[in-house]
This record gives sequence, structure tokens and C-alpha cells, in this order.
Amino acid sequence: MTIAWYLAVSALIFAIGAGGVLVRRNPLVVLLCLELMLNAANLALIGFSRMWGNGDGQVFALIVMVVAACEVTVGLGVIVAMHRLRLPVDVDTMRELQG
Amino acid sequence: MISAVLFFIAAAGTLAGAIGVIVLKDPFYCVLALVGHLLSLAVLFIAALGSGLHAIGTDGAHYAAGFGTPEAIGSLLLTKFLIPFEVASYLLLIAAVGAVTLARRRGGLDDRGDGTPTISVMEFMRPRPFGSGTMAEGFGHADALSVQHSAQRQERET
Repeated sequence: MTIAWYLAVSALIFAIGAGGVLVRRNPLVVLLCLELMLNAANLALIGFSRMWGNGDGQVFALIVMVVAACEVTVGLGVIVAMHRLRLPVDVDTMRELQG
Repeated sequence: MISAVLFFIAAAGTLAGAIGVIVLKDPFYCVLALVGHLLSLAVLFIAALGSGLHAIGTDGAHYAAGFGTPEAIGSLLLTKFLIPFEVASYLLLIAAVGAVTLARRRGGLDDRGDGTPTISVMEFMRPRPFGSGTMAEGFGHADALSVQHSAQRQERET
């Protein structure tokens, strides 16, 4: 089994996630699509790690998961704050940075 | 061979979950699709570790004993990658504090008076009313505390 299969699946997941970020307007779903892209990167990392027989890629994947958790935490905090301020929960209407 | 079968089943599940995330209307079902996607992805990781992956035209690495076990990853995290590990822990701490700060309930106490709520660094420097933000307030004793406090202040002034 060649690594090309894994890379193909990884590329497909990344493309689906990128398309979701571009298409969807709900910030929650945008966060989920960001998660999809990070997972695609993780899959490629694990595949390459197995191909070289080296554990460094697995540690890299773990760190990527930590960063993904942080990003989702802060993103959810921002969405909750938007909800509190009664802003519309829609990324198209958020055009300015001054709240 | 088994890992190849596992790979194709898990890959189908992963892609179906990913498509479900971006196609479904209700965000709740999107999250459910993401959960399915993550479960399939875990199976895919196991399939990747159990199979002899190799680039086209090569033989690939040998399956070393203990490769990919929690023991191997843990010892790597605590020896070779100790600094990234510690930095990641600080990143998690900062993200947790930041999320609590962002999602904090800020009605009532720090309204500017014109009805426009704001998010500002200066809000954290402003002295808070006596008894607020304490355990006593959580138990509903803040009113009693502040009444007592103002009574004491009045006594002192008179």
C-alpha cells in the first residue's frame, strides 16, 4: 500500500474543509471546517511518519491537535461574545473590527 | 491486507463526515457529522500505523517494535520535544483564560451607561463594586455585603 492513497484522502478532506470555509456563513460551521483542514494535515503527518518509521511526525500531529483545541476555544468565546452583544451570527455581516 | 480494507472503509467514512459538515443545514447535525468524521479518522490513523506505508517505487521503513505506542510518543514528548510540549501547555492555559475572558458575562456591572456594551482592556482595570466578583456574590450575599459596607461608610462619615 503506497502513501499516495493516504495523501489523496488528506487532500480531499483539506479541499472539502477549504470549500466549507469559503461557502458557509455560520461562524460555528466555519470553525468546524477549519478543524477539517487541520485533520487533513494531521493525516498527512501520520502517514509520512509511518513511511519514514520516525515518531517525530506523530508528536507534530499531537501539537497540531493542541493548537486546534486552542483555536476552537477562542473562536467559541468570540462567538459567545457576539451572541451576548446581539450581533448577527453571520460572517458576512462582520465587516469591521470595532465591535 | 486487513489494514487496506480498514483504510478504504475508514476513508469512506471520513470523506462522508467531511461532506456532511459542509452540506448539512443545521449546525447541530454539522457537529454530529464532524464527530463521525473524527471517529473514522481515528480508525484511519490506526490503519496508517499498522500498514507498511511506502512511497511509490520504494520499500518503505520497517515496522520497528513499539512504533506509535503511547510509550514511544510519551518518551519523545518528554525528551526530544520537551520545549514544544511546555509551550503547548502554556498555549492551552492562555487560550482557556482568553475564552473565559471573552465569554464572561458583562451585563449590569460594567455598562457604560448609554446602553452600549463594550469589550475593552480598560474594563479589567476599573475597580469593581464592593462584593462583586467574589464567592459571596455567587451565593447571593453580595447585596447584604454592600449594604453593610455602605452603612459602615456612612457611620464613618457622620
